[in-house]
Amino acid sequence: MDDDKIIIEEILKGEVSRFELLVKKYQQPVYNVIFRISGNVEDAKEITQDVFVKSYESLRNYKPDYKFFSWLYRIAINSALMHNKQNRRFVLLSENTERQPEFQSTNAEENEHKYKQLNKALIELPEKYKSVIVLKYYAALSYAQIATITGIDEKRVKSRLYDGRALLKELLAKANCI
Amino acid sequence: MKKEHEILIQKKVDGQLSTTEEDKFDKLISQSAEANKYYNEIKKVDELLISDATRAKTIDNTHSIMNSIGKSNVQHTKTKTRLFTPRLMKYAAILIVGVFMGAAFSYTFFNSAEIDNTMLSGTMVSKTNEQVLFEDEQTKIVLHTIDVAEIKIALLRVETNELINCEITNTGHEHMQIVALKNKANLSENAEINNQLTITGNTIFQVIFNSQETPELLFVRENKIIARKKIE
Repeated sequence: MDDDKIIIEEILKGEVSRFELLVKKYQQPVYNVIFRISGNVEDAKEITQDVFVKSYESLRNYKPDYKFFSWLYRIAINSALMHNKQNRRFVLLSENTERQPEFQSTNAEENEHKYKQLNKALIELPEKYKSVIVLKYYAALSYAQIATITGIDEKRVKSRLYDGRALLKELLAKANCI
Repeated sequence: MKKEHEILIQKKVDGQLSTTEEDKFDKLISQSAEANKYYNEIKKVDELLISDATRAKTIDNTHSIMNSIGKSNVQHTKTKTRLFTPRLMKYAAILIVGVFMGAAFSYTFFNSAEIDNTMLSGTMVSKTNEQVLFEDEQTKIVLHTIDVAEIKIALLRVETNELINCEITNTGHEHMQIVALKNKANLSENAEINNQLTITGNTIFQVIFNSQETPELLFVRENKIIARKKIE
C-alpha cells in the first residue's frame, strides 16, 4: 500500500490532522494545474482550497484501486473547468494585465514577454487540449496518468497533446514569440 | 505538410521515436525545409512550456485549507452517535424509499421500451414523466422523473459512444444521492463529489433529490452543451 493510502486510512479512522500531509504534498501541483486552466491567481487559490475541502469531505468515496493523486487531479480539473464555464468570460492571467512593453531591451524582458504570450495562448486553447497540456507540463504526468484522469485513452491523449501544441505554436508565432 | 510527418516530429519532441522512426525523421529533416521549420517551432513551444512550469509561483495555503476542513460538516471520526439523530434518520428513510422505488422503476425501464406504470406502487408515486432530452447518432439521453412523497427521483438512461459530462446544479450535497443502476452503469469515480458525473457507454443512473429543490441537469459533450433540463 502506498503512503497516501496509509494516510487516508488514518484520516478515515479519525486522525484528521493527517490530511495536512496530503495538502502539503499536493497543493502546489494542484494549484499549478488550476492556475493554468482558470487563468487567475486569486480564483486558482480559492479553487485549490475548495478542491482539498471537497476531497476531504468525499474521502469515504475514494476508491483505493486508483492513485490518490489521479482522483485529486480529476476533482481539480473538473472544478477549474466548471469554474470557467460558470464564469463565461474572457479571463486574463492577473500577471498579464500589465501593458506589454513596447520593445524588449534585455533577455529577461524578452523572456517575460514570451511567458506572458504563452499564458495568453494557453487561455485561448480549447479545454480538451488545455487539460492534457497542463497535466503534462505543469503536473509532469505521464500519458497513462493523464489518460486515467481525463477518462480518454492514451492514443487520444497523445493526439490532443500534438494538436494542442501545434495550436500553441500558431498562437505564439502570431505573437512573434517563436 | 503531411499529418504523418507532423506526428513524427511531435513524437521526436517527446522522445518517443523508435530506431526506425529516428531514421525516417533524420531523412525528413534533411530533405524538407518546411519540416525543419515545424520541428524547430514545436521544440521551442515544448521548451517554453517546460521553462514556464519551473517558474510557477509557490503557494502555501495549508493553514487556511486545514481551517476550512476543521469547520467542515463532514468529520471522519469513529463516533457514530450523529448517525442516529432524528434529522439524519429521516433523510436516511427518505433515501432508502427512494433507492427502492428507483430500483423498481429502473428494472421496468431497463427491460422494456414502454414503461408499465402499473408495476409501481400507485399509493406512493404521484407523477412520472418520460422525456427524450437529446438524440443523435452518437448519443441518446432519456429522462424519467418520479415524484415520491418528499423526494424526487430523476432516472436517466444514457446511450453514448462519446464521453458525456453531466453536471447537477442547484442542489445541496446532503440531500442528493447518485446511484448507478445495473451492471451496465459506468459512472466516473467522483460522482457526488462535485455534483458532476462522467458517463460512458450505456448507462442508467438515478439522482435523488429533496422535493423542495429544483435542480438542473446539464449534459456536455466535447465541450458543447447538448442538453439542459430543470427538474420541477
